[in-house]
Amino acid sequence: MIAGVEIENFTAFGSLQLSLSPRVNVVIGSNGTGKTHLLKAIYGLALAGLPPSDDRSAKEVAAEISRKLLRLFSPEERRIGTLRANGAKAPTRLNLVSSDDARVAISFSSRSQAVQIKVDAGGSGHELQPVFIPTKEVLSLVRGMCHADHDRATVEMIFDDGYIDLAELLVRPGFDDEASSLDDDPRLSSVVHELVDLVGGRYRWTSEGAFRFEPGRYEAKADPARSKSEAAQAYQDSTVTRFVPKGGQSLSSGMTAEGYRKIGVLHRLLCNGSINPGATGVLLWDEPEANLNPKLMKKLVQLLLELSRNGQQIVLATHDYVLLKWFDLLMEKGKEDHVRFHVLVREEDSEAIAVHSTDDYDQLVNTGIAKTFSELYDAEIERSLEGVTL
Amino acid sequence: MTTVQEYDLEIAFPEAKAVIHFDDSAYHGNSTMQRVDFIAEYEDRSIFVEIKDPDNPSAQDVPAFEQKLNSGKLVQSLSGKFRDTLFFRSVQGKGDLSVVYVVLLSMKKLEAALLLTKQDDLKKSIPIRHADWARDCAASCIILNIEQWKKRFGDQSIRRISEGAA
Repeated sequence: MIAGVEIENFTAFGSLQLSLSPRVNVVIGSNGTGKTHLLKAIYGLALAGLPPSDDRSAKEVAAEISRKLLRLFSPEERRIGTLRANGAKAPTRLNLVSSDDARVAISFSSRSQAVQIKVDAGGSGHELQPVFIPTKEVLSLVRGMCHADHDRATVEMIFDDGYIDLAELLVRPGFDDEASSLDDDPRLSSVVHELVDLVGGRYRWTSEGAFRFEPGRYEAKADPARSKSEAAQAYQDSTVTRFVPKGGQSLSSGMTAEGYRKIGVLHRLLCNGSINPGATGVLLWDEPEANLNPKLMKKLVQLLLELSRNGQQIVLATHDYVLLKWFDLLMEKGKEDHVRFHVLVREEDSEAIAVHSTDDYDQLVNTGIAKTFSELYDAEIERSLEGVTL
Repeated sequence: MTTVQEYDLEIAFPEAKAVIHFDDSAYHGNSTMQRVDFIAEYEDRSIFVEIKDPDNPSAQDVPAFEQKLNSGKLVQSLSGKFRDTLFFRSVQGKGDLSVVYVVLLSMKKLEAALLLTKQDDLKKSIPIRHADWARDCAASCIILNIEQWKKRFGDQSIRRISEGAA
């Protein structure tokens, strides 16, 4: 778990300290306050904290993380110093502190060739593999990004590594055909089934090297391998859950709604173990609401809460009132739900970006999201009561 | 100036020709007509005012009110009151005045977004407009909280009696 993040003199940030909830974190702020940069910084730090493979020197690792940061943030000039905050004099520092006191520190200055990385593994070890889901949907792009004939340079010119890393996670083999591995963890299988119910089917990686949408749902059936008497003794153990296709042809992912594909991404990551609470790291999701029908939002928030109850740490960035409000309405303190809101604001006098964190939804009244609705409400009243006095 | 009181709230209508306490059982007898709390009459319009005050410190059963709000029953009841009152006024011969329907909903924790939604629901539920009607049945229809009421009509226009001076 990531307990805290400290950022100094990096991209839009002067000095920023963030204490993360082990459950759900929601980053909000107007455009240009650095929400995506914050998510990517956390992602980069978590990658830097992964245990290095044996055959690489510290220098090679530092070069690779430098490359990764450049690939994530895509500055015009491919020099690590360009990721420093404008006008910063002191070195750039990015620190991540885990709940077990492990620390990852990245630092560099304007003239650095590569970043310096210091990993203090603390008590129990390294960071776990993080997952970053960018704003735009990726499922339908995977074919082009991973095709044998693809031109890597062109793909990299178009997509930053937020997209390319996710594409690589998506094509990892999943269990897809067998329900058995899913049933190992019934808590997660319920999430997977509900994701499939939400969009009426699943996306499958095909032998043609693309995702296709297959309409259907998961259904529990009696296990043919067990006798009836055994089944009566232990109903729970005697059913197998299988995906049952529902007529209709499968569709290429590009032919399905973009909002569905975003749900499909979460489904796929759960099915192939890229998201596996306890075994994998933080889930960073930039604007889950983008292209999602607001009607799907309630369910999505329920499922994210369910993942967090299973030990998944989540950091979301959002502009969406509906998503925020559902977290407020659906979180259950009795189930030990915990949601922390981090509001990024540009201070009026200094132009510096500051963060205000709160566990209390009611403290969010002055955010841009709430103000938008106040403005709408004011305008509605103005129109309705024009010229009316008591 | 006419001032009316509804439990813990006092509302001033400085420009009204008359303010009728419409929700009066003695006046309506055994009729099952639903009615708004007050009707303020002006030269060229009348304002129907319905007051819902769950923030009243002595309000009973606020959870039941919230349930009513969430289930849509509140909007249904608010629209019924408007329709029946409009019917009454029309038969009374006062149907030619333009009508403004103002619902005062004192519930601090209701955010602007939710008030807006309830208001849109109310307009559809009444309904304000119909394809076969020559004109809208109300000039406007709005749900205000106390803060917005004051912003619109002035700080002196409403006061919570239990809090003392305006």
